[in-house]
Amino acid sequence: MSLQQLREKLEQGFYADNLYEMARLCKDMALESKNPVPFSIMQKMFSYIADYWHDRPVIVEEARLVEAELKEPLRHLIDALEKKAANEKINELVDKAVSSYMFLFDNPLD
Amino acid sequence: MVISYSLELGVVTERTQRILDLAYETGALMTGAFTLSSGKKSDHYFEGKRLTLHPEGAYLIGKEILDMLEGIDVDAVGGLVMGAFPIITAIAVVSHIESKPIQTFIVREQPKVHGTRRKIEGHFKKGSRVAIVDDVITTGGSVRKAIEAVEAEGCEVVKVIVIVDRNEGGSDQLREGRYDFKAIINLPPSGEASISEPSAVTGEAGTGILRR
Repeated sequence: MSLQQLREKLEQGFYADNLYEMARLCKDMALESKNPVPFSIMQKMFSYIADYWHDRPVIVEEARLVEAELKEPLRHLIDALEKKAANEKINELVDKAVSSYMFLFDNPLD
Repeated sequence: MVISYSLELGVVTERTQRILDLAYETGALMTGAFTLSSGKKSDHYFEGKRLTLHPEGAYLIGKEILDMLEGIDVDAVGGLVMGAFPIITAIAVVSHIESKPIQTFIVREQPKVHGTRRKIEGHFKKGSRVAIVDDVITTGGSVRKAIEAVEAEGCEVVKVIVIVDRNEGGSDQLREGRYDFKAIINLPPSGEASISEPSAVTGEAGTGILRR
């Protein structure tokens, strides 16, 4: 498991099976990393969306909206993690990703 | 705006036509532009529980599947939670009413953690001849889990019946595996269906968790 794998999965798009796969990658990386917080947070976001989209009709428009809002901040976060950016920078990018996620969903922290 | 939509009944009868009509009426069969769990796009979506938990729907499905099993030497009917749960209950009730009682069982995704630790619950005997049912088959994961669970107990799967076959490979794999597979309703493969405008969604698919 690697950030490269996560990046590839992210580019494949937002649908339940892929979100579960990204959540699994994040969980594995959180368990191995000395800085597990960004991975744990991404794992929570991916799992939440996948659980909700699994086994229900997901309108294409809804999936596109979620992808449009979340993909870019997550790309930047993965880039920063790959470049081993300073914690301050990573925290800032985690905040941006989480803000987008919280903007999108009702009860995002359930 | 045109929705490309073609589907067919496995066997056209008054009852299967009513099942199809009811699938629309209950909102179980929705049209629009959907992203499936696999990432594929489809212009239709089937939410089986809307049909199988409907009074008339449950009766018709139970009756139809019982008739499909007519003449087959089968000891019990079962399937994987959750999709198969209301179906097998309907089959059990209708079979009792019609004095053709058939045993039913349910297969858990995971064995029960506490108590009996069973994976298969209900009236099930090792080594018996069973039929597996489900509400919908796409790639066939749920049906395969149920089949693997009963075959691990030495059972012979003599029939597999689903309400809707999405024709996404699952039914083909079962046929290749020499299982006797039947569907009540056949949907076209998502790859062949054109995607309609996103706003043209029927049913309650629009109610999500997104902030409005």
